Amino acid sequence: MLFTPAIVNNILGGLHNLLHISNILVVLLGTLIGLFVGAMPGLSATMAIALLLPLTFGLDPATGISMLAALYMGAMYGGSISAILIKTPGTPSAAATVLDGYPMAQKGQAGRALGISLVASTIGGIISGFALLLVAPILGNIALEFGPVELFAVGVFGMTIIGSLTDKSVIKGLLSGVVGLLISTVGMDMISGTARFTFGILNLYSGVPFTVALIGLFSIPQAIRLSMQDEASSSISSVKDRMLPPIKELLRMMPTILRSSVIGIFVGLVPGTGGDTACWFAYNETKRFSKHKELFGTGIPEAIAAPESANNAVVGGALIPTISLGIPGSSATAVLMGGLMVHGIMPGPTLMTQYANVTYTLIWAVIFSVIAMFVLGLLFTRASIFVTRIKNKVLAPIIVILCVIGAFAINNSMFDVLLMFGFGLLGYFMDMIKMPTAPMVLGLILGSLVESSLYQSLAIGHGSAAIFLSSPIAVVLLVLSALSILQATPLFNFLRKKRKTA
Amino acid sequence: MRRNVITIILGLLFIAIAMLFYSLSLHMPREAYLLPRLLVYVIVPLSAAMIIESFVEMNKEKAKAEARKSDTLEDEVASTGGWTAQASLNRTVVLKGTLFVLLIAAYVFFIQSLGYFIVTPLFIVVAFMLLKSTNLVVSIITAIGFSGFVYALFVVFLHLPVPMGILAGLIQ
Repeated sequence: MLFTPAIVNNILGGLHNLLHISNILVVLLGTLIGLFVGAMPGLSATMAIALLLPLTFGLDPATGISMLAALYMGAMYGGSISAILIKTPGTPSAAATVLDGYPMAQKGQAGRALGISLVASTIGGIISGFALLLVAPILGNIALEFGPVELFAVGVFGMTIIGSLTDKSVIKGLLSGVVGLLISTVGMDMISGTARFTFGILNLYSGVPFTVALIGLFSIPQAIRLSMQDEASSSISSVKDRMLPPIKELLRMMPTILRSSVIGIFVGLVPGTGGDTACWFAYNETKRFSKHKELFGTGIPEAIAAPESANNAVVGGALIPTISLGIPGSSATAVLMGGLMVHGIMPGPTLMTQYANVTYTLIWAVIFSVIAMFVLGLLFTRASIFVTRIKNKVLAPIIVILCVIGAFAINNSMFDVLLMFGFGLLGYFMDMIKMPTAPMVLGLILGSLVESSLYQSLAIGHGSAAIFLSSPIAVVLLVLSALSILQATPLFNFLRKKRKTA
Repeated sequence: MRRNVITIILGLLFIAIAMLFYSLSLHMPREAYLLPRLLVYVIVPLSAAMIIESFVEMNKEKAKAEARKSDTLEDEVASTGGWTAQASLNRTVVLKGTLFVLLIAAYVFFIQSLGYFIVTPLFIVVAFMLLKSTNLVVSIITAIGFSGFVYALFVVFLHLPVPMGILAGLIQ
């Protein structure tokens, strides 16, 4: 039986928890913040979640994490507002929406474009929310059978796939992840009690706080970049036409929305990819299936619906491996994972049992946030036009303040603020050389899991690495990890070229 | 060119850190050094590969620059003029970014001793002036309003700490 009575009980318990007034209010607040943050060009969902992470310390874990998930969902739609109105995607996930959203707005149909985006986002979000509700418990149940050998393989798989699937240099992606893992070994070793790489600094005995690192890595580089950017010039100043599309138009777009939602869920499932990949994938597939390819780029409804349903569908899809296996499907869910860990909740198989209360509330919060997004989108999309006009140069100092105060609030420590700033500078230089920062954050988060499972596995195997060949799941995952690294090497490039010429 | 130089510096930095960690791990028990050493074995070749990748790219850029040199005189004059204007613009942008980073460093340095309520509004006003975000009056109003909002959110609503500095005794 796929759904045991315990799972059904947990699902109902999560719904009951969510219906608590405080949880509903934070989901509404998170969605609204997400909508506005998404609408501001230059602020990504990941950065917003990182910045607001410290705020959740003062909240109940289920409440705090629900707020962050709602923010993620809201930002996915919010990104389309500036994409449509000022030709600048609010988040990287809305990049493909610009192509047809802005031309439609230029024709005086900004409301129509925003309405299509909102409806497509809602349908994509709902489908992925229910996919999360149905798949995560089943996958989580399977993952419960995992021992240290499989957990080590899962950790290695997550690290290599997020590093090698980067659209930038694979070498840099992998290096970023491995350096993150190395930094995670700083501090007291839990097995031998040895202080490692602390250089006599007491604050480092408890390790490098990954929350501090991720605030610095995701937010400070963005603030520096915004301080150096020029402002967008072209914009649509008002939305005069109606937003909701007529039923006939909606039905015509339905196959596109459904197909793109499925694309979004699957892209979300793959660690290392996110809304930015999904939106282009869905856009290209819609164009491929279309009978009027020549109309793409002129402002057609399907070309707005496709990327928007896909990027919202990514949210549920990316949460599936995050919740059930402890491997984030996107950089935003990596930060969400950090949000769980600051409350002492270790992501992974135990999330579905030991912390079922928090996990199922989170899943329901994702579904509820879609409904909230639809209602708030109808009410506040017109108001958010003003948000798109906030200058980048106003945002930059504001981001810095939230970084500093947030980093300080975590442990009441100025050392953490210095560490955050150091990671921020490192992140800026990494960005400059196109080295992704998400794998480093993942390395920091997965470090303890990888190390403890490696040690336990070797202890079971009496010190022999052959233990990793004893489990078929571990073998498959390790082979896939090796392949994901190998596919980026010059050898594979050579073979690919040879096949093309043949 | 600049990007490749930074890549090489970062690659060397990662190798140096890896070697330092390796040498420190020599005095550790097996349980403690196992993973760090494994990671060092991966970091060193990956960093070396990243450095090599940059050298290859630098050579390609050099070859492109050489090819550009052989263009017609008019093109050269035009492109040099354009390049000079672009370089000057880039310098201004980089200078502004550098000053902003120094301002963040000053903010981080002074917030503990002087406290949130003195340094944060000052940081906002100076940053807005530096970046030419808005005029002085709006900057001051934003600085006071936003500092108050963050304090209310973190301290009053969520009971999280902010560094109070010399005002610690006055505001509790």
